[in-house]
Amino acid sequence: MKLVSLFTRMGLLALGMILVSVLSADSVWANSSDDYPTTSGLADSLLTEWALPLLILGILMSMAMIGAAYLVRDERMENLLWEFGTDEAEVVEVEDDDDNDEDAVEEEKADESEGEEVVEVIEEAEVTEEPEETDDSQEVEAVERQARMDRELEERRNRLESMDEKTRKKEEELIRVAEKAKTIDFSTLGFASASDADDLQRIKGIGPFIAEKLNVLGIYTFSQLANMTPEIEEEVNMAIEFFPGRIKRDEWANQARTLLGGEDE
Amino acid sequence: MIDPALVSALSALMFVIGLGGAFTRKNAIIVLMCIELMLNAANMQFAAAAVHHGDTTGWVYTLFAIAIAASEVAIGLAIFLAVYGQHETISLDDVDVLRN
Repeated sequence: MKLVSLFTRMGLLALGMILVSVLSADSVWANSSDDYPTTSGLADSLLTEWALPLLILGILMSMAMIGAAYLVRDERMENLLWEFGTDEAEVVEVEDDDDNDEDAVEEEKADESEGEEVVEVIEEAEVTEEPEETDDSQEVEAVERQARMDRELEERRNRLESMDEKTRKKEEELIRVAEKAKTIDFSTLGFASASDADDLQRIKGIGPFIAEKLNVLGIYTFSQLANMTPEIEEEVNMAIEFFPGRIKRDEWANQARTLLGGEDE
Repeated sequence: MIDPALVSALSALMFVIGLGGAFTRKNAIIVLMCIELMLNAANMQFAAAAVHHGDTTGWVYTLFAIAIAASEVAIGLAIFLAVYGQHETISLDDVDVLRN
């Protein structure tokens, strides 16, 4: 590799020297013309001789600009919804989330009381159903898990205030994702916590931020991803506000299965 | 007035620098900048030739090349942005397949 790069450099140096020596040779610059091109001459030739190419160039440039604008369009879920005008209520809600901190505070309060309720439910469950704990332990576990996730959400909300704008925006997105965790069927996926997390970024298509979003959603392991059914894939896709249908196209479930297989061997 | 031979030698240097950068760099934006450098070297050569021959055609070509370079950069940057959205990197060593 080093040899190749050395060779490239030598070649470039040689090319540079040859170019300079050829271009500065006296014979090239002999018999120069006496008249000097003027700006008005340039304008003349642009608008008469070169009028048509100029027009074509203008069309080309506007095509390039439209193309560039199309390429950089924002494909995130909320923008697509806005574009298609399908779910106006939801869009308004999303916009409120972004713009209105007051709303966030109110929501926070609402969630707080909700969280307390859940804790009470847990306590009740523990008190009243102790004898049959084996039967209901799963249910209790589920409620506890829910409570824990709510608490995490709360912590994230509280942290928001001490952040600068950029991290705040990111954090708000994560909170939005975490709120959608309830819509996903974890009984099929299986549960996991941060302690048994796999390195999700080994899957093609998952970057650092997507991995973080999956984590706040409650997805930590390859086996959870491998258990995804097409419907769940769709739900997760919606929840993490990723490009529509991307999880399916990138075959995260298949990739996760392959990675799992590789680890077993 | 500056000697056209000097301008043309400078443009040769610029071209070689741009070529070297385009060959050796991994960051897509730097590669784009190097391609731009090569285009501008060609523009300088055109301008020098126009002055030497006393003809405005060289200047017209320069103007056209500048406009085309501008649209090329717009498209190039847009593509890099799209690539970054997919791969979360624009290092040319990592982005070596077109399919996602």
